[in-house]
Amino acid sequence: MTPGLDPSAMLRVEDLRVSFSTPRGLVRAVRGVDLVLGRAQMHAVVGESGSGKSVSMRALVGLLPRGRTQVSGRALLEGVDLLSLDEDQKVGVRGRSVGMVFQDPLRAMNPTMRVGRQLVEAVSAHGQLGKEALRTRTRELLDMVQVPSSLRVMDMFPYELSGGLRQRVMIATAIAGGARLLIADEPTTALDVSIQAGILDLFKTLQQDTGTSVILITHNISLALDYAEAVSVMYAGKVVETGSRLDLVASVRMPYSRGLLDSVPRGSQARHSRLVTMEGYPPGPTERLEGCSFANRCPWAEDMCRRREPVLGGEGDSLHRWACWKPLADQEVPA
Amino acid sequence: MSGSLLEVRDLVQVHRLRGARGGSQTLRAVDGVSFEIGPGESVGLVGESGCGKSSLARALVQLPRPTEGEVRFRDQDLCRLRGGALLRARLGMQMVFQDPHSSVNPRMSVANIVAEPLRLRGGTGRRQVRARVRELLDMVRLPASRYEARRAGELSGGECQRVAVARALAGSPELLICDEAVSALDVSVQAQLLNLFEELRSELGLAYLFISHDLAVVRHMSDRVLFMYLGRICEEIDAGDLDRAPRHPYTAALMSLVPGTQRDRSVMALTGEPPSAASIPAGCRFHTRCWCARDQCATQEPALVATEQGGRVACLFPLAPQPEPVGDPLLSYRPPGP
Repeated sequence: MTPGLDPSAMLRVEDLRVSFSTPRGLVRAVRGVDLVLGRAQMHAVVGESGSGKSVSMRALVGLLPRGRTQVSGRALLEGVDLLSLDEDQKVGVRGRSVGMVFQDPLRAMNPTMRVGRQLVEAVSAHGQLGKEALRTRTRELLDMVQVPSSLRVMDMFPYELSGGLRQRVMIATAIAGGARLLIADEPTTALDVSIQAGILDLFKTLQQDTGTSVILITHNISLALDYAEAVSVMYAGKVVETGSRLDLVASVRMPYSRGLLDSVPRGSQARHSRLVTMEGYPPGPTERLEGCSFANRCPWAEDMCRRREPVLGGEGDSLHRWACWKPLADQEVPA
Repeated sequence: MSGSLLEVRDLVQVHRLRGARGGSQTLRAVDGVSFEIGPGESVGLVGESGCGKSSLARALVQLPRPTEGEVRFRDQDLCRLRGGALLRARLGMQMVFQDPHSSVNPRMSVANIVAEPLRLRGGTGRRQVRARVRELLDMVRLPASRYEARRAGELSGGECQRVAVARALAGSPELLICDEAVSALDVSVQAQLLNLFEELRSELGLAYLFISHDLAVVRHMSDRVLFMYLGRICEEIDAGDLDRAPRHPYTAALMSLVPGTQRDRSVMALTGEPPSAASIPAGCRFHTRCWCARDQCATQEPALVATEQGGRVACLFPLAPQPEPVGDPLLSYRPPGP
C-alpha cells in the first residue's frame, strides 16, 4: 500500500502552497506541504517561528485574510477537498468537521459574555435544540473537557477563569459541533508545565474516547515526541521530515530535525555540556531559494544540495519520509 | 557563610493590591526566603507562574526594595544602601529579562545600548568606552563591525538578547540573574544562548541565578535548584539529584512532567492550579494540591530543614530517595555527538 493512499486516513494534504502578496513582495509562506493524518491520531506539526506551520493549518479551514492570500493544493478531509469549498461551505466545515483551539483563549472568547452563554451559542450554531437539551448538552461538553460542575464556570466571565480552565472551555467550544478533527495551534504554550500536561492528556482522552484526530502545532519537539503518534517537521514552508514518533527519535534522517532534537537539553546529557547547535538563521520570507532551504546551515551539505531542491521521499511503504539528498544514517555524526 | 557571593536572608516582598472599591489587600509574593549563591555557582529557580520567582529576582536588585530581610552581595547589605552606593554595588549583579525586544530601546544603536552603563558609571573616556563596547560585543559573539551601528529594532530575538547580555556584562558583574532569558526564543536560538551562558561562565567565572519554567533547561544549566511555591522555597536540591532523589512531592511532580521522564504522572499529578498568593492555605501551603498529603499537613506548617543529600526540604513527610527512574529508552537515545 502506498502511504499516500492509506484509505483509513482522516485527512490527506497534498502539495499545499500558500503565498501572500505584501508591499515587500510575494511571501511564499508555505511551499508544498504533504501530510497524512490517521483516525484517532495525534499528529504534531513542529517548526520554529516562520516555518509556516500555523499558516498551512489555518489555510485548511480558510482562516487566512482573503484577497491577498493565494492557496493551492488539495486537502481531503474524509474525501471532501476543503480547499475547493466556497465560503458558505467552509463556514459549515468550521466547527462541524474541524474545530480550532488557539494559544490564547482569552482573545478567542467574548470578554463581555458569560462562559455558559458562549458555549450555548456554539452548541446551537450546529443544530436546533430545546432549552433543556441545550443545557444538558453544554453540561455534557464541560464534563468531556473535565471541568467539574462545582466550579460553576457557566456563570463566570472568561477573565475570571484561570488559563487552564479557559483552554478547557475553548476545547469544549471546538468540539461542540461534533468536530472529528481538532487543530490545536500552540494550545499550551502560554500555560505552566503543570497545567500543560492536563490539557495534552485531555486531547489524548478525546482521541481515545471519541476517535477525534488532533493536529498539534507546536515549536516544542520534545512535547511533540511525548504525546503525538506522528510528527512532521517543517522548515522554511515545507515539511522536511515526517514519520512516527519512533522514526523521528531512533532514525532521524533530515539534519534539521536532528538539529532540533539536539537543541533540547536532555537528562542523559552531562550538565553544563555544550549543546549541538545549528549555525545561522532560517531564510527570510521573501528570499528566493535554490536547492535545499537548509543547505546553508547544514554541516553535511554538498554541491547537489545547493543546486536541486529535494522532495519528500522514503523507503518502500514506510510513512517515514524525508526531503534530503544526504539523509543521515543511524547514528551518523558530522565530521 | 562568608564564602558566598550572594546571601539572602528572610526576604519578604509584600505587594499591595488595590481593590475595586477602594479597599486594599496585601499579597506576600515572597514570604521569607533564604539562600546563598557562591562565586561562579549556578543556581536554578523554578516554580509555576505566580509563585513569586520574578518578585524574588527583582527584590534582589532592589526593584522595588523588599519589605523585609537582607540581601548581602559581596558582604554589603543592598537593602541598606542608597543612591550612588547602591548603583555601584548593583553593577556587580545584573539582570537579563525574557523579552529582549522590550528590554532594549528599539531606536538606539547597539553600540549605544551597550555603552550606556559605562557612561552612567562615568570616569571612562570616549575612546575607552568604544573599545570596551567592541570587547563586550565580542564576548557575546556579535561581530562589532557588523552590529555596532545597527538599531536594536532591526535585530532578531536571539541577536537582541545577545545585546541585552552584553549590556549586562558592561559593569563586569559577578552574578547574572536570568529571568526566563531564553523562554521567548526558538529552540535552535535558545540552544545558542545557553551555550553562550556556559561559555561566559567558564571565561568570566560568572555566577548565575537562572529562573525558568523549563525544567530541562534549568537542570542543564544549574548546580543547585531552588523550587518555589507560593512565595517560599519548598526544596533546594543538587541538580544531579533531581531525577533520582527529589524529596518534596512538588519537586517530584514537576520533574515527572519533563518530557522524556517516564515517571507515573497519574500518581504524582498536581491537582488543580496553585491558590492565589493573596489567600495562602493554612498548614503546609502545598497540601491542597499534594498527591501524598495527610491530615497533619492541613494544620502544621513544615520548616525548611537540611536533607542528607545536602539540600533543604520543607515537608512533614518527605519522600524517600528513589531508585533511578526508568528513562524513556527512546528519548534517552542519542547518537554519539561530535
